[in-house]
Amino acid sequence: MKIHISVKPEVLFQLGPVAVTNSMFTMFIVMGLLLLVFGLIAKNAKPVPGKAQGIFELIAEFLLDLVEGTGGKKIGRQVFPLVGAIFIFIAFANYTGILPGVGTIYIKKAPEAGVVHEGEAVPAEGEGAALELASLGQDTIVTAPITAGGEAAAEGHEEEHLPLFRPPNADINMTLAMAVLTFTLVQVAGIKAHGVGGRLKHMADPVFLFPIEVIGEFSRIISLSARLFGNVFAGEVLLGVIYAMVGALKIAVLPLFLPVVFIGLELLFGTIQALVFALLTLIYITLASASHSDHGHEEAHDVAHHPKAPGAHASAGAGD
Amino acid sequence: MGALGLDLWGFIVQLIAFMIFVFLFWKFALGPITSVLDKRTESVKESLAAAERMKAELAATATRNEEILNEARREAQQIVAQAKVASDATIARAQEAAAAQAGEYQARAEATIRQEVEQARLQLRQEVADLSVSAAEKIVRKNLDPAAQAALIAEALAQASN
Repeated sequence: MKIHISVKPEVLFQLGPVAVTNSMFTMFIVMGLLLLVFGLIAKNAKPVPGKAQGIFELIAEFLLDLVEGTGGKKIGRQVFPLVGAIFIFIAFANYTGILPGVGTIYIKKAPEAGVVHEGEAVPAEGEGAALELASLGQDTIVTAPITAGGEAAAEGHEEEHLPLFRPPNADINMTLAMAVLTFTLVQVAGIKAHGVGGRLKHMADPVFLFPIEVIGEFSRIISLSARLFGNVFAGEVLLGVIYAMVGALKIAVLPLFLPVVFIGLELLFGTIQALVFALLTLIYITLASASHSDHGHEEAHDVAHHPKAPGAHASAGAGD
Repeated sequence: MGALGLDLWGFIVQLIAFMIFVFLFWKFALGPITSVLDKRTESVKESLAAAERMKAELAATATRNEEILNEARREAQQIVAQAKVASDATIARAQEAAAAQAGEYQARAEATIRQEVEQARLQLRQEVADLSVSAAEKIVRKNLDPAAQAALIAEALAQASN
């Protein structure tokens, strides 16, 4: 029994300069399915909705209320395409993590000797851990043996088994891409509302705070991307470990029920993380385009009006 | 950073893919559904307003109907009252006229009777005169006695004058 944990997505194949990873592959599948399914629902939309349309409308209405409640009618409607797409994509991308087959369907691939050697130089950080997750700090893919079986560890170096699917948000590139897009649009919204000078003046309200404001703006990229990546990746690890453990326990009924609890939790966290990312995007843009005088008021209003945001945040942090 | 799996090309591909996804998702899925929602909100608002309008109209119509009905009732009563007055007047007039005519007829009948009595009397006098003349003729032819003749004439005249 072994579990496969890799912080970085595995490369499936090389396409020109682009290394197509399993998370990228899953991302394209998720995007394609979302566009296909929701596009078909929207195309066949009737004034009196059916079941599928009802569900989509429920999501859309929830998001619409959220953006209009936080950003107001005008700004809310302007950011709705972005916030809506972020929420729906992240939520459904996170749900892929609990699908059977994601992380458990493997393809065989010959090891790349160079990569393995490169990784060996890095000291292992997880030494002494019960599950021997020794590879977290290394630059390579390693299957960590959960039992003391020596042949399993040896096999990992001879022939790599790559999971075909990986939740898109368990890839820092994906979350970083969304965070950078959000950051860029926040700056665009701020400049559109106040002009370049106005935006700079806004940030340098007491002048000495300007560097802190700049750091604060850029730190949002890291906080947004790292939070989402960390949660989804940790969820994957958690499920992997639970599956491995209940499998190793070899008590017939347990594997049927114990993971269900964690799958339920992952469903919850997937939605919460999608909501957090979408809500923070919305709040950043709203704050950036809010007028100077009621800046503080807007912020207070946002938090007061949507107590879900900090609450969801806290529970997500506590859960993972 | 490599340990986290950061990869420039991967980042760029996923950034572009996500931007395209946002665009396409808005154009084909989220946008149309939002417009459906907006349209429904609009139509619900309109329906509610229309219902309100209809209710008000209904109430107004009901009031108007009531008014018209009351008006009609009042008019009907008025007409009945007028008719009664008119019929009373007509009856009274007819009675008067009948009484007047009856009186006239009576008067006329009395006058006719009086005239006829007069005429009969005249006729009788004439006949009496004729009779006396014929009686005188008979007597004259039978007995040409002037004294008796004169006595007879006088008697006849006296009779006729009665």
